[in-house]
Amino acid sequence: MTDGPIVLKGPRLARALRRLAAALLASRANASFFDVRSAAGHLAHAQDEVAFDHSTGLPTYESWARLRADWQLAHEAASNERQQALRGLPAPRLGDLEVSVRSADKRSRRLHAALDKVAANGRLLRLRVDLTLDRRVDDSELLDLLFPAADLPAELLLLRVANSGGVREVERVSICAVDAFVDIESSNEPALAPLALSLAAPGAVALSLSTQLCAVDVTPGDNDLLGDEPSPDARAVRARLGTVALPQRLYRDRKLVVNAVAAPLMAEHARARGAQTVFYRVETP
Amino acid sequence: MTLVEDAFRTVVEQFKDPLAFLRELVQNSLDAGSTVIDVEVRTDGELVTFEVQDSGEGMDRAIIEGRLLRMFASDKEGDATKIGKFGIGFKSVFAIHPESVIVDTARGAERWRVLIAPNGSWQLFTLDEPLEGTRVRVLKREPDAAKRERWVSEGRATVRRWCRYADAEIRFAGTTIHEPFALDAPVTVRLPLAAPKDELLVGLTAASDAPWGFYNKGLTLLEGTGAFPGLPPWACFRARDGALEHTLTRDNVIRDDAFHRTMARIEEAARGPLLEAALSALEGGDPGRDDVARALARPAADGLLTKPAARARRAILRDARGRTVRTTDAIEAARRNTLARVVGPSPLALAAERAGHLVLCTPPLSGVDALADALCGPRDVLHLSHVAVEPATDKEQWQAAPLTQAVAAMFAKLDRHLDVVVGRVDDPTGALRDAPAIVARDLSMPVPRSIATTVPPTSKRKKAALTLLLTSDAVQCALRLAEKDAWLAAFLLVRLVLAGDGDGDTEAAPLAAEAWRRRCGGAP
Repeated sequence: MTDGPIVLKGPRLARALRRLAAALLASRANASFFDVRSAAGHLAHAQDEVAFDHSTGLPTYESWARLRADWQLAHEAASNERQQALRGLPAPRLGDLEVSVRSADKRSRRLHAALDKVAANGRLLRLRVDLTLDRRVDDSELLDLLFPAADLPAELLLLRVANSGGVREVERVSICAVDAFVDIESSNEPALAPLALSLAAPGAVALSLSTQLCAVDVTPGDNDLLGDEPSPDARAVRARLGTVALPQRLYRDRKLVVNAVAAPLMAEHARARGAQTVFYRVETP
Repeated sequence: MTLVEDAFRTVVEQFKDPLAFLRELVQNSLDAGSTVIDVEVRTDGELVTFEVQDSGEGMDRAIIEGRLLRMFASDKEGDATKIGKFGIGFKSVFAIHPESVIVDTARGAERWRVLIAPNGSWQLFTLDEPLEGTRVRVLKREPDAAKRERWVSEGRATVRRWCRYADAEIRFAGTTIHEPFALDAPVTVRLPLAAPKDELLVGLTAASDAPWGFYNKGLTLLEGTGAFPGLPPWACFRARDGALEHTLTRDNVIRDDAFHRTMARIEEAARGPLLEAALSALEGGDPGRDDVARALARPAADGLLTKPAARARRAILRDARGRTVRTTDAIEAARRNTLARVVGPSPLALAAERAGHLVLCTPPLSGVDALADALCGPRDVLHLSHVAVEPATDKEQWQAAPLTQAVAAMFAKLDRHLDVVVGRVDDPTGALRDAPAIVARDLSMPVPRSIATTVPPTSKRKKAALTLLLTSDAVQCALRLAEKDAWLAAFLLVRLVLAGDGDGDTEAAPLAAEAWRRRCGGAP
């Protein structure tokens, strides 16, 4: 297996995109996640060829950038049915920050910030932070702070945000990601089979959605059936969580969307890990 | 019962719709960040189960004990991103007097099942199954089968009424109930508000039962129809604003600063951008322009289409040839009494133009008619008061020449000097359907209907024109008879014309003598 992207075309691409879109829609992803409905809408209008990252099985950042360019073109001049349909969709959010004011006083703003980002390997990330900022910190500074940190583990992101100038308090940080997609057909067809999900069954379709949450009001735990070893830095931060200095605590979870082939395999995997994993079913289109 | 419990009971009992708790549960699900919410009402024997399931943030023990089950406890107060505020949302399930309420919920590493009895006592159990979000089941015993069915249908209607514009996908028994946030009005303007997805829709309407509504995150706060107090009667609206709040009893919107700010923006839009958009729609080739015109009649009657002056220069009316006419020109013509209104392109319209009128095309009972009434004052369409004559072709004139010449000669005998031709009358009312002829001084001008069949006094210098109408059965008979006996045909026709004029009897004897003389070449 090479480390380069897997480029799908023609009917194989159409099948893969249909399955990915169906899995996204079946995931019941809440507001902590990337807007999967919009993402599924854009994938339905992808053309020609799409590159998928081999480590996630998801369309790469470049593929999303192309979809965004298509969307922009459609808004400039919609000359065909596809472009008309694209005009009805919101823009693909490749790195967009949305800030809502929860309350404010003369000196500070209590905000809810949500950053959507498509990672280089195609992971669809939504980073959400509930924090209190000095009035002098504007939204662009917040974007500069969050954007490069969105790929970090939640505990390291928390530390970075909490130690930034102008941040008075961080109530919660969450990073929710659509982070792996499996679509395995026969051995003759190119497979999307990221190693992280360790699924090698022909006919298997699965989508993984992970949650990392650092908050003062969360019961800590690890319910991630694919949980890996934390880095030394992350381990050091975890040791400080729940203390006076870092009162936030960490909860990790993962849910899966699976078809009939993948369901028993992943259920067995969850049992082996002792994880209470939520599974949603998807019919293979 | 404590004071708080007593107050809570009072509030719950005041819910107008006992099923409004479905809206409250959906609201909680939205506040929990769920983007998909499943609602179901199902029956099993005598048991009716109302279920709302989301995939939101869920609740841990601290939330369950501290806020879900305590009266008037909410962590959403002071958070502008949440809809709920008062901490009574969940408790509204008791308005239906349930048998029991079961809440399954997961948050972080905690999973709980809460069993709540009708008296409000509750038990908490750990839930040993994977779960995302919250599932609330409200169980009600209902021995009456018809009532059970009604709970199901009313449940669907309730969810649709309160939640059809919600931000999330809300499904009732697996079917989405979502509708696009829109206003059914001939012209609508959209005004975005500060928060994403918040907006005001302001529409122009002629209907007396046009809708209005207030929404928070798409959930209905209050809806109604008809003129809203304080707004111009032509304005309808839907306001989707996260700053708007329900009253405790959920039957009204709190009249606070946010409400008054919203209403001020709606009124500003109704008197400004909305009217401009409507004028633009009228100027363009909008297929619904008649509806727009009808809706604009009320602001026009209030003088809002002539102030500021730039509005009066908008070319929103059309003449009979389809050319645009500026409001100022129409008003000025009305003032000078040179404005004519016709039902459409017709010889009468052209005749009125030739007579120097500004001719507006305003079909009766149309929106344009109502708008023209409002701008220029009520005025009958020209077709009600006038007719116009359309001359026949040269060939038809040539074929009818023996008859027309005979008729002219007969009238000359009576000292009535008429140019006689054949033609047709432009008379959509059909009132002159049976008339054999139209008489006028100048046939190229509109002919007042009241004198169209009266032969005026004439002289050799001051002639009039008489058009025998080819659409008349009598004229057709006379033309056929004239092929054999033009004088007899002329005699009969002239008698008919004069009979319509009221002179038939007095003129009959000399006419008969003349016909006889002409026919036989001598006196009878």
